[in-house]
Amino acid sequence: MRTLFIIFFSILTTCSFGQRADTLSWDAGKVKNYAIKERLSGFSLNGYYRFFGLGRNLESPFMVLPNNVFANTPPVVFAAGDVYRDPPICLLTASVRPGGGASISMDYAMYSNFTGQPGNVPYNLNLGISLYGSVPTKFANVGFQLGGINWVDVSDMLFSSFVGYNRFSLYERWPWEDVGQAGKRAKFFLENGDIAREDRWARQAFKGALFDFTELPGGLSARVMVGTTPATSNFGSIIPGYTTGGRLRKTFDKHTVSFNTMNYILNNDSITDERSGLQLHTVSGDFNWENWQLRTEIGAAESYSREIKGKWGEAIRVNLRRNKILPWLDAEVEIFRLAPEFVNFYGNFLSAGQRLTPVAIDQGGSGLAGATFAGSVTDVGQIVNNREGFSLNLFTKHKSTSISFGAMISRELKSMSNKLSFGHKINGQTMSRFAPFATGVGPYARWNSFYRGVSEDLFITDINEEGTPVDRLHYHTMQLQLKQSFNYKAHPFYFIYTGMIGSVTPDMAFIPRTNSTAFLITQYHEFDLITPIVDGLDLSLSYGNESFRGNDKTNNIYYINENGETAGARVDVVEGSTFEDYDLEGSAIAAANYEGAIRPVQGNLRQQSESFGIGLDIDLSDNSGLYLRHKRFYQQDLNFSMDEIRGTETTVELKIFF
Amino acid sequence: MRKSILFILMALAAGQSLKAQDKLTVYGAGRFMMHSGGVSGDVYDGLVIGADTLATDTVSARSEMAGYALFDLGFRFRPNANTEIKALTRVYSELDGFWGQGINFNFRELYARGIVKGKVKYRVGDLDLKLSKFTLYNSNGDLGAHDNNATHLFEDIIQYENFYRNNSWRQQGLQTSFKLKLPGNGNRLDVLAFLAKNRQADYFFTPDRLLAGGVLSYEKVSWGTLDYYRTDLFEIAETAPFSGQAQRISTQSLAATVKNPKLGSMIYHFETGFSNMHFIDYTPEPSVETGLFFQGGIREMSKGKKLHYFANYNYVESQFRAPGAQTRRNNFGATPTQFSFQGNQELVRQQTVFDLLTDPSAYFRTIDPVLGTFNPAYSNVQPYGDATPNRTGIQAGFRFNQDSTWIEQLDAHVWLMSEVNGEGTDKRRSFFRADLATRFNFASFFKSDRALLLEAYIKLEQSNRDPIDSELSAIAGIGEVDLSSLFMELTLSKEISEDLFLHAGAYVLRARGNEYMSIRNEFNQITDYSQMDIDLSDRTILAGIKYSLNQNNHLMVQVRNSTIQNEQIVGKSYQINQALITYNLFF
Repeated sequence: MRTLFIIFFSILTTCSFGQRADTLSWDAGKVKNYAIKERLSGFSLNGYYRFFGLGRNLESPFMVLPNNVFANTPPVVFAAGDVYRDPPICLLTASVRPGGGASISMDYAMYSNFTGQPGNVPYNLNLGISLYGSVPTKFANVGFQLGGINWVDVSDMLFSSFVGYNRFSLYERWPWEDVGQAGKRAKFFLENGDIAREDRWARQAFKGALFDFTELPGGLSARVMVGTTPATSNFGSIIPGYTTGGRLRKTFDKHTVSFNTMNYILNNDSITDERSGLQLHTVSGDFNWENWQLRTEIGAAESYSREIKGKWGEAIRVNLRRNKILPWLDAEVEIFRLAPEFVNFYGNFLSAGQRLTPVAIDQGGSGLAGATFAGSVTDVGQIVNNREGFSLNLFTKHKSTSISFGAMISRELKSMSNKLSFGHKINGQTMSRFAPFATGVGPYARWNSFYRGVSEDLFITDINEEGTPVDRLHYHTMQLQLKQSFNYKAHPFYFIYTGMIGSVTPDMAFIPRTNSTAFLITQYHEFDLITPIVDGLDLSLSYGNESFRGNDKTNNIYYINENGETAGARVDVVEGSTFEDYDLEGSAIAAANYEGAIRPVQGNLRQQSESFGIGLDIDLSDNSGLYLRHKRFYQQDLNFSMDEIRGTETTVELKIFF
Repeated sequence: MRKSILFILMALAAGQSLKAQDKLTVYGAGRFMMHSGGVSGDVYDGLVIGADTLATDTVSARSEMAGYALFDLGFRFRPNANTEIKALTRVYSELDGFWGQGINFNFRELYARGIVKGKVKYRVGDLDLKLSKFTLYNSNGDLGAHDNNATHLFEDIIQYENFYRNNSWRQQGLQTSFKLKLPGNGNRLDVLAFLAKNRQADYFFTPDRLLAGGVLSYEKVSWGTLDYYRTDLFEIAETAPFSGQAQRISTQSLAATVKNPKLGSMIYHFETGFSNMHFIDYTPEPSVETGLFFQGGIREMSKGKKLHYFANYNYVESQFRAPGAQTRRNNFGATPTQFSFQGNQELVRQQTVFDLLTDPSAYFRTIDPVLGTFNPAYSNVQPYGDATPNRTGIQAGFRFNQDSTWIEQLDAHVWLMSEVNGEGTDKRRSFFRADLATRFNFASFFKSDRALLLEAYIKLEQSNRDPIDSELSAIAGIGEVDLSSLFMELTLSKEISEDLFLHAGAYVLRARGNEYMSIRNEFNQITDYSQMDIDLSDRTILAGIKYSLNQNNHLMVQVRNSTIQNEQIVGKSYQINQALITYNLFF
C-alpha cells in the first residue's frame, strides 16, 4: 500500500510540476524568435456571399462565327454566375494584424457556380496576398504595400483610370457594390452626384513593392513602385517584365505639385539582351483657391523597342473648375492635347495607335505591336491620345433637381486609321455576355466585347492612298443628365434621364452634327424611374433607346483584309455580283452568305436599340439584399439585316455581407 | 494528515493544469520577397582559352525579376484543456500572376496533440524529432548559422521553411511520452517513443520507410542523467511487391551526463553506441555492417559566469550509420532558384554562398539513409555533423558573453581531427578547423544609445593527407590531399533610428587545393573516388536597410554583388548583381 501511494504520489507530482504555461508543450528547449506563437487578437475574417443568377432568352441564337454554328451564343441560358471574373459567390477576406503596425490579408474567392459537381469546386484568391506596414523614421514615415494585387494610383494620366462625370443609369447594379435599396441609391446619387464605390475605383492593379514616404522635410512626399502590372507580367516565364514608377510631391497650403513617372519594361529575347518598353514622365499640379480649382498635367512619353527607336510625344491637360460661377451653377473647362506617341494603357485616357504587348505574343522582338485602335465616340472627359480638344461641364442643383451637362470637342492630330468604333450603353453589358472578350466576331465580324461592354466597328471610305481618312477626324460629344425627385401622396419618386449625342465629322462643329456630313452619329437616351413601394421593397423601371448611323462615306460591306483583320469598304451595289467581283484586297467573311458581307447593302449603318427593364430590390436585413432585374431588349440594323437581336434577360442577385 | 496531503496534491495539480484558453486561435506567417538582378561574366559572354573557344551563351537569361507573397494561416483548435489540433494552410502567390494565376494552396502543417488522463502525452501528425547528436539530430549547415544583422532574416526563413526548429527533423507519425517518478527525492524516468513515416511506398518497387525510436531517460537528482537512445530507419518490404528488398539501419547509444555539485561546476558528458545496417533480399546482399562511436567531454556552463568553455573527444568509426544524425542540411544537388542554368547546354548552376544564405530550396527537408554528397570547399572536417563517420579527434572552445561592454559575444571553437581509417589507402587524412564568431557593439564608444554592431564569423579548414607511397597498397586515383578553405562573413550595422538599421557586409569563401571525393552506392559503400582540384573564390558584398516592426516582423531592402571564380565550372567566372526586397512576419 505504501509503495502504491508513493507511485501515485510520484506520478501526480510529476504531472503537476511538469505543467507550466502550456501543458501540451514538448519542452523542446530554447525556441528561437522565429518560432510560431499562438495569438488570438488581430485576426479577422469577413467578406460576403453573392449569388448571381442569370436567365437569358433570345429569339434566335446570336451568330458569333458565321462558319461555326457551334460557336453561336446559346439562346437560352440558365446559370449561376455570369461569364466574367466578377465577384465570386463567396469572398472571404482573412487578415491578421500581428502588431508593430503591420498587417497581412488575402481574399479567398469561392466560386461554386452550380456546375452540377458538388464537392469538386476549385477555389482561388480573388486579388492575392497583401502585406502592409509603416516605418516611422526621423526623416519620414514610410508606409509600404507589398505583394498584391493592390489598387494604386500615381497621377491621372500615368496610372489611374477614368472617373468621368458619373452620367450613367442606376438600373444596373455594379458587381462590387454594397447592399442598398434602389431608392437610397437614387437619393444618394441625386444629393452627392455619385454612388459608393469600392477601393479599385479610379486606380489600377499593381503587384510588387510600393513605398510611400510621407512627412518628408519641406512638405515633400514620395511614392516608389517596383513590380509588375498585367501589361508587363510574364507568368510562367523567367523572362522578366517590370513596371516601375512613382512620384515626388510637394504640398504647400492647399496646393500640390508632383513629378510623376511610369516605366513599363519588357525583355524580348531569351537572354534578356533586348528590351522594349514605354516610359512616361509628367508634372502635375493641383491648385485650390476657395471656389477655384485648377488641375494640370503635362509630360512626355516614349515607346521604344529593339526595332523602333521611340519618338517622344507630348501631352498636356488643363482643367479649371469654378464653383458658383453663378449662384446656382458650377462650371468646369478642360483643354487637352495628347500626341499619338503618348501611349499608356493605365492612365485615365485611351490610347490609340501603338500598344504594349507581352513578349510571348510578339516573338518578332518588338514589344510594341502596331495595332490600330479605332477612333471612338467617348463620354465627355474620356480623352484619347492623338487628339486635342476641350470640354465644358456645367452642374446645377436646386432642391430636388440636379442637372449635369457636358460637351467635348476634339480632333485628331494625325490621321492614323479609318476605323471608327461605337460602344453600346443600354444593352452593352447584356450583349457582352454573348461572346466575352472576343474581337472581330458577329455576323459582320465587327463586334468586339470587353469587360462589361460591347463595341462595333465602322470604316470610313473617304480615304487617301495610305488608307487613312482624307481629313483629320473631329469628335463631338454632348451629354446631359437630369435627376429629379418628387413626392406623390408622400411617396418618393426618383427620375433620372441620361442622354448623349455624338458625332464624327471631317470638320469641326460646336455641337454634334446630326446630318449626312457626319461619318457617324450616335444617340443614347435612358430614363430611370425609381421608387420605394413599401418599406424594404423598391421598384426600378428603365427605358433606353440608342441609335447609330453612318453616312455614305462609310462602308457598306465588311470583309477580312490581308492581315486577317476586319475591314470595310464602300462599293456599288451590282445585282447578281459575287464578292470577288468587287476586287477588294482580302476575303469574304467565312460562310457569311448574306448582304453586307458577301455583297454590299443598300445604304449605310443604321442601327437601333431599345431596352425596357423592371427591377425589384428587396431589403432582407441590414447586411443583405435581394435584387431582381428583368430586361427586354432588341437591336436591329435596318441595312445590315443580319444584325438583329431580340430577347430578355433576367438576373437575380443575393448579396450578404458578414 | 493523509487527507491533507492528498488535498494539497490535488490542488497543486489543478492549479498547474492547462488554462482553459480560447478554443480557436490563429498563428502563421506572411512574407513578400522580390528580387531583380542580372548576371554577367565569362560563363555567359564566352572567352578564348588558348586554342579553345567558349561560345557565347545564347540561351540563359541575363536578368531576372521574380517574387512572391505568401500567407501561412494556421488555426489552433482546443476543444478542451487537454487536446489541441493545429492546422496550417499556405497560400502562395507569384508576382507575375494576375487575376488568379500563379496561386498555390497547400497544407503545411497538421497535427493533434494532447494529454491522456493527465499523464501520457501524445502527438499525431507532424512531429519535430530530436534525440542526441549521434542518433537523431539536425546539424547546422556547412557555413554556420549566419546570425548577423544582414542575413539573419534569410536564415530565419530557411529554418522556418524547412522546419529546422531547435535542430529537430520534421517527420510525420505518432509520438508519445510520459514520466515516472522514481524512488528518491526528484529522481524520475522519462520515456519518449515515436513512429514516423519517412517515405511513402509507390506500391511497386519502392517500399514504405519508417522511422522508429525513442529515449529512456533516467534522472538522478544531484548526479545527472543516464539516457538510452535508439532509432530504427527501416523499410517494409511487403509494401513494394515487385521489389521485396528492404533496408534497416538501427542506431543505439547510451549517454551519461554528470552534474554533481560536489564535483565542481563542470559537466561531464559521455555517449557511446553503435549502429547496425541490414539488407534484405539484395543480390548480392551486402554484409551487415556495424559501426561504433564514442564521445566524451566536459563543459562548464554555470550561469553566473561570462566565460563558458568545453572540450570533447570524438571517435566515430567509418561504418557507423545514423541517418537521423548524418543527413545533411545542405543539398548541393538542388537547382538554385535564381539564375538556375548556365551555358548553351543549360547546365545547372552550381550553388554559391549567397544561394546557401537565401534559398530555402537549397536544403534537405527529410532524413535520408544514404550519406549525402558534400562540397569540401564548404565543409570537409565534419560534413555530417558530430556523427560524421570516420573521424576521431578533439574539439575545444569557449564562449564569452558580456552585455555591459562592447564585446557582446566572442566564441571560439577548434577541431583537431583525423580519419579513423584511410580511404583507399592506409594514409589517413588529418583535419584542422577553427571557428571564431564575434559580436561587438561600439555604441558605448560613441556614447550613443543606437547600436553600432560589428559581427564576424570566420571558419578556417585545412585537410591533409600525406603523399601515397606507390609501393604500398595505393589505389589508382588516390593521392595526396592538401585543401584549405576560409569562409568569412563580416557585417557592420548601424541603428539610425529605433529598430532601423543600415548594414553592409562581406561574405567570402576561398578554397584552394585538392581532394578525393568518395563515391558511394545505395548501401553507403565507397565504390570509387573522384579527384577534385579546387580553386574557388566566392565573394559577396552587400548593403541594405532593415526595419524591425517587432521581434518577428522585419522589412529589408538589400543590394548585393557576388563574384564567383570557380575553376570547376565551364567559363570559370561570373558575377551576379541583385536587389532584394524581403518582408517577413511571424505571428
